[in-house]
Order: sequence, then C-alpha cells, then structure tokens
Amino acid sequence: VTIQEAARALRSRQVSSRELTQHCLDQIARHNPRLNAFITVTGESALARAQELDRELAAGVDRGPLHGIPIAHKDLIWTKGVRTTSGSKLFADFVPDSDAPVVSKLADAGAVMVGKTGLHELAYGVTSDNPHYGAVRNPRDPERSPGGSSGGSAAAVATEMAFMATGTDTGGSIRIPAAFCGVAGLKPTYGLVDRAGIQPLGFSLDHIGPIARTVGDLRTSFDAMAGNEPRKPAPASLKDLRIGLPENFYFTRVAADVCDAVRKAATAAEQLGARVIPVRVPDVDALNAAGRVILLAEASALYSPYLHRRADFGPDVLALLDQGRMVPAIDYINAQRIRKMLADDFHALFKTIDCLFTPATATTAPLIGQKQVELDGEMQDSRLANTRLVRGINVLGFPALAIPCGESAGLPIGLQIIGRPLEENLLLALGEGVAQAFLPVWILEQ
Amino acid sequence: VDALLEELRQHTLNLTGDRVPAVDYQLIQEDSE
Repeated sequence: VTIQEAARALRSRQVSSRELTQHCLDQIARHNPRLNAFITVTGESALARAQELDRELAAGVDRGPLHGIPIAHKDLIWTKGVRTTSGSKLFADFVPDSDAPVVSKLADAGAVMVGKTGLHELAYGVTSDNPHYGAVRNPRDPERSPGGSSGGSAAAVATEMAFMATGTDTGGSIRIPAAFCGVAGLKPTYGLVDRAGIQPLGFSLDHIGPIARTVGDLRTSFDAMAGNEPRKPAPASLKDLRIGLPENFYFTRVAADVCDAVRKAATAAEQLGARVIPVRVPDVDALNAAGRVILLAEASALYSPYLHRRADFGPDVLALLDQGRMVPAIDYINAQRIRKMLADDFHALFKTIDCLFTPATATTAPLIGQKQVELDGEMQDSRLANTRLVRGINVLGFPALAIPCGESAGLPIGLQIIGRPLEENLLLALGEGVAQAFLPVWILEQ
Repeated sequence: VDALLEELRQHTLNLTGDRVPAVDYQLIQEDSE
C-alpha cells in the first residue's frame, strides 16, 4: 500500500489512521525481532496521535497527503521526549527537549511517528551492524546487511513497519540501504532540508532525506520535509530529457549483473522518450579522496571531546575517528579546493545533460560481517567498494535518487539518478517513470 | 590514512592559486554560476 493509496482510503473512510498505525505496529511486532530495524517503538503515543488525526479528518481538517500516515525517524534525529541514541553509547540516555525542524514539519503535515530506527553507530559506516544496539538485518535475507547508515529506515519501510522513514546521507547513507533493501531513497540538494536537530557527522557533507517504498511516496514525503524551500518544477515531459550514461568510472569495479540492470534502466528511460548520451565524467577518484579526507577531519573534530571514552565506541568507528586526527589542516584545505574544482567540472558536464544514470552500489547486499567483495577478479574492501559510486555526490551537494532496477539472485539492485542542484522534481519524475518497469515484485506479493 | 593522504596529494599537484576552497554548497553554486 502506498501513501497515496492509504490517503485515499483514509478520506473515503475505508480505513482510519488508527488502523494504519496498528497495522505498522503489528508489522513491527512481526518483523522487528528478526530484523532489529527499530531501537525505540512509540506504539502508545502513535495510536493516541492517530486517533487525534482521525478526529481531525472527521471534523473536516485535512493536513494533506501525509495526514494520518505512520512514519519512522532515524534515531539520530531529535524527537521531543523520545530517546535519541544516534546508535551510540555516548547518547544512550539522551532525550531531546525539542523536535528537529524536519520532525515538526512532518508532524504538522499529519504524519504519525511509530518509532526510531536503527543505524550504524553515529551514522559513521555503511553496514548498520551496531555494537551497542545489534545488527540491523536485510528483509530479503536476514543473513545480509541492509546497508547503512540508515539501515533501519530502509528495512522498516521495506516491510511496512512504516510508510516512510527519514534518513541521513553523508557518503551514501540513504542510497546504499535503499539499494540493498529494494526501496527508494532521495538525497536532496545540500542544505535543502533543514539539518538542525540532527546529530551531525561531516558538517559540509551531511544531508537529510526520505526513504519510502515508491517514488511517489518519496515525493510526498520530500515535499513535506523541504517545506517552502525553493526548487525547480518537474519538466513538462520526459521527452528529449538528456540522460548521461558514463563511459568511465561508474561501470568499472562493479558487478556485471549490476551494470546490466542499470543499462536496462537507461533503455527503459529511452522508451519513455528520454535520450541516452554517453559521457565521460570528471575525476571521481579525486572527488572520493577529497570526500574521505573531509569526512575524516570533520567527524574527528566533532567527536574529539569524547575520544577519551574509548570503550564507548565500536572498533570501526573508533579507528576512523583516530585516523581523522591524523589529517593535517593542509590536506583538509586542499580537499576543499579539489571539491571546488570538481564542482565546476560537474556543472560544466551538466550543461550537456539533465541527469546521470549510474549504479548505486557496486554489488548487491553483502553478508553481515563481510569485509571484502570480489570485483573484476580482485578482492576489495566492502565499505570502499560500496561507497565509491555515491560518496562523491555528497561532495558536490547535487541531489541523487536511488530506486530498484532489478535483482540478482533474489537481491535488489539499485539505480542512482544524479541531477543538478534543486532539480529533485526532475529526478522524481524520471525515477517514477523508470520504476514502473521495475516494480519490486516481492513488495506486491506482500 | 597515509595511503589516502598520498592519493589526495597526487590530485593536488596541479591545483593553481585560483582554486579556492569550497566549504559549503552555496559557495560552489554561486561561483559556478
């Protein structure tokens, strides 16, 4: 059931918000013991809020398409009176005294929060295998990772524990879990969705956006999250839209079936009237190196007051925080100079195209605990392999959409569509068209 | 981290003085446009 379908059913009195909320709570009771998608479930307050919203709707007060829709928030987003751990032992008992603006916007739009979703510790990693709150598991195969850091959000929406969930993305943390779990995720333009009240990681790389089952649900959620922030309208038609298909970087060190699926998605877009144009992209290796240096330094600057509490960090996060302390200021500054140079290069490329089609991840979901993956006959670090296609877009600040575009051995494959700043509506319109060709069958079966 | 810094430094060899740092998206966009 999509948000739009639920919204119609609410208005025709076929279902109440309380019933929708109870359905999500039932799904949580059914799936969460196996998947560990939630750190906190707020069932009682959710049902009470849903009843209020039912009364509002009966009285003729209609807040719009999210009115009465159950959602979840990643557990690093401040929620008034509800513990917000950031997946960390440091904040195990932190209860905010206010909502983050994005939480307020979604609540004002009528959304009902059913709980807080699990994540990689401090959002600093892409497995969601959390040493303090347990590993989040992939709904397709619980032995596999859901991706991260917003793994709980993707697992929750994939199993109807929520209709949408918020995520954050500093180096792929919305798009990677969306790809691994077979759902849709949008990393908006940098700064478009207010990041106040959200535990930072990399100040100049952090983004917040929605994860949902369909592109239409993403649009509804994104509209509420972005509020009145200006952005460009969707094109009147997909005809003659120029899709860049990279000849370099994005189809190397990527699994063959992932490459095939993304190329098929480009063909599907051509059938909608778009034009596919082979392009050479600027130096993404340099972009990734700059992004990693910037993130190492910014995250370590943020957490330096806590680093004496070494036992309170998991080993992977502690290692990254220690590495960040070894980045000289000269290298941080030069990384920001590379960023500027490559942003100029990408702006130039986007004068010739309207968007780029790339894989979202190099492989399908790895096993929980898997450290390496084999690509092009070589063993590679799993974290670096699965962030190298997404991380650079955080450095640019451009918007990027991840949607399912096929399967391999029963596991979802993700397509990434990258656009110009403030052109989320173009990505969503194109993504919605392409997604029709790749409807995730298992969700329909559920 | 040494390997990463070495890789970064390879990419900075040709940076000229007019390549100023970008620290947020606004700067990137305004300069580009």
